[in-house]
Amino acid sequence: MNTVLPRIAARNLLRQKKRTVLLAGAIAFGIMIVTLINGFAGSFIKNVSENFAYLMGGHVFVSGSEYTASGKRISVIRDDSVIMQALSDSGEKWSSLQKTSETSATLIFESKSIRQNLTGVDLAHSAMLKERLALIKGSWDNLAWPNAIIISQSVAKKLNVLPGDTVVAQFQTITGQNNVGEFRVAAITVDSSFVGAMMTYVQLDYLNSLIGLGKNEYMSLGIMLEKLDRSGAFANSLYTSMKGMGLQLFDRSTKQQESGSTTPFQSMIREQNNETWTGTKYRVYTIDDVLAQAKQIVVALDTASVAILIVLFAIVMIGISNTFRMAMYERIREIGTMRAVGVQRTEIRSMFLYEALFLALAGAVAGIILALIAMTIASLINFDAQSPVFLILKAGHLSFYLPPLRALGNILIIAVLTLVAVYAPANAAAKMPPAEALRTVK
Amino acid sequence: MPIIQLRNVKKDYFLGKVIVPAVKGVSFSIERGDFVSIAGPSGSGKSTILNMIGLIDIPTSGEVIIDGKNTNGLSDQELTRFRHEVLGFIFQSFNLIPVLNVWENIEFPLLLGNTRLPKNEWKNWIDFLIGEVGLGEWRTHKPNELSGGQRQRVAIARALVTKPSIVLADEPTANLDSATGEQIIDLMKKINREIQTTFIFSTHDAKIVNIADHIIRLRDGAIIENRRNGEDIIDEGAIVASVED
Repeated sequence: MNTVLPRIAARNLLRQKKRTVLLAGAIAFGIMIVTLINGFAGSFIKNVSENFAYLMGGHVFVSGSEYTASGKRISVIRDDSVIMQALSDSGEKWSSLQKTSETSATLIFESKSIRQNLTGVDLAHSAMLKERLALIKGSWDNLAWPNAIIISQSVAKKLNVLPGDTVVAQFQTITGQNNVGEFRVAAITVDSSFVGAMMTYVQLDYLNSLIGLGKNEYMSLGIMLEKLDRSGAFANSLYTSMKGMGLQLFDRSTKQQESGSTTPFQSMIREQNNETWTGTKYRVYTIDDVLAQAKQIVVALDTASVAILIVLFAIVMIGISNTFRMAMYERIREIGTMRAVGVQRTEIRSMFLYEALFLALAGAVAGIILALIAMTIASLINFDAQSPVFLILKAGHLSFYLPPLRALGNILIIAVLTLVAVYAPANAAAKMPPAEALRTVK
Repeated sequence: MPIIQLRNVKKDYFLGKVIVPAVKGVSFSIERGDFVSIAGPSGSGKSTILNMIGLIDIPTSGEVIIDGKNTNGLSDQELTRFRHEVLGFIFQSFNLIPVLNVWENIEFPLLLGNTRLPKNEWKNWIDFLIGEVGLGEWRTHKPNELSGGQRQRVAIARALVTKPSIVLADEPTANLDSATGEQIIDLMKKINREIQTTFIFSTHDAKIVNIADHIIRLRDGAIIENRRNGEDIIDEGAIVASVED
């Protein structure tokens, strides 16, 4: 391999330092923007999933469905001993379990009312709630009350209630009858984002008795794992383990092709709504299944970043192409000399292409370094827990994750675009007849 | 056999639609090891002839035969390879590669093409040339740190590094003061004697013209004097033409 031409190319870049810095700077800027988008998109899904996992109480979920005598389909897990057995048989590790029931209710206090989703959990023993919720009024001790309810700041404000007040809830039982119940406000929590403000927690046993479920029954089991990335694998092995115990299970995937705005999980649910069975049929699903739409946002962001990359670089490339044309005229006598001394046409072209490649690589690497610095600085900013961007934050901070393959891909795109931009001037330089090049007076 | 033969070589340039004949059918031969001067006022066609001998310009018609090889119809790639193997160039404005230092500039032609000397031999040979042109102390300097005379010395070493049979020098002293120009000429004459390389100059420097073995004088693209070792040579083109008849 002849190394003298790349060597000359690299040194030629250093001849016009200002020009090189400007061009590499333009490349670096573009790469930085795109890398920031990619870095944001990379962690977006992870943060949204983690935050939603806390709101929903798990990474992996098991829910049960059965038909009542009247043919209504209800959500219930009557006996979870087999599920627990399947869980321990699966050989997987988890950090906590949360049993929940849910109903949509209208909370009424004096003349005011508000529609809320009530989530029934074992308030006094839920480690997850204690870890997640910040109380501004009331106390954890009140959670021992059998009809305790935890509401968010905004709900408390709308109803104008204080801890100790009793609110009335109006809702339907699982079989569709209207019912009411009284709840005593045990604590008021800080609104953590708009989703946080929507969460209202009540005692599982009390809620079950109101909506027509038995004492040890519930609707869904949330399993919190140590690591979010494990959720898919965990769900699969739990599924296999449950299947092995003879339980009826909904398929984990759809046979239908994904169409437009619906996620695979959504179309799977729709498909399975037509199924009939007797007894309880279980569904195992993960936070990722539920958040497939958030994944679509990530895909959109990544697509946008590639579009930005290309548009931005179409502009930069015109500058690079012109600059190289200029460089070629400045060095025309050198080119003539090299040709006379025995450098082939193709080698002249390669020399310019090497120069372009080095420029692109230097710019791209600088851009990625700049982006990493910008990410580090941005992730130091502490956001308010009530910030509307809460869902995309990691512990109140922006976080970034740059997939290495994507960074490499961006560098590759830049390298290719730069080579394309420089090809025409490089070729013109190569085709210049040596005598003519040597005659040219600068 | 002469090392170079030109047979009825013509070169026309096109200035817009006007054809300008720069060389109007020139024939001559150059013997191996000669110190040759192509002289004439500017615009007489000497650079054009030198470029055609150097295979960096192609005649409009006629033949250029170098080392017994007719160069007509060779591809650009073949011409480039041939230049690299057989020819060395020295230019009026030195034409060193500015980003390479003295040693690298001289080494440069050796890095081209397919033939490779053993690394050791190669280094010794460059060292020898650097010593020969008196730049031992300057080997790591860049061209812009050298005087004109020093730059031309580097160019001479570069022209010789591939051990070419012919060195072409286009007005090598034109950009130098007369004392430096004389040193450069003496140096080339010394190398010409030592290693029997054929040197061909285009020049109007009287000093070169005086020490040349063979003088070809041009005016308006035609030969007006062709004299070797003090003897006139009659127009070879006419001889060739009459023999072929």
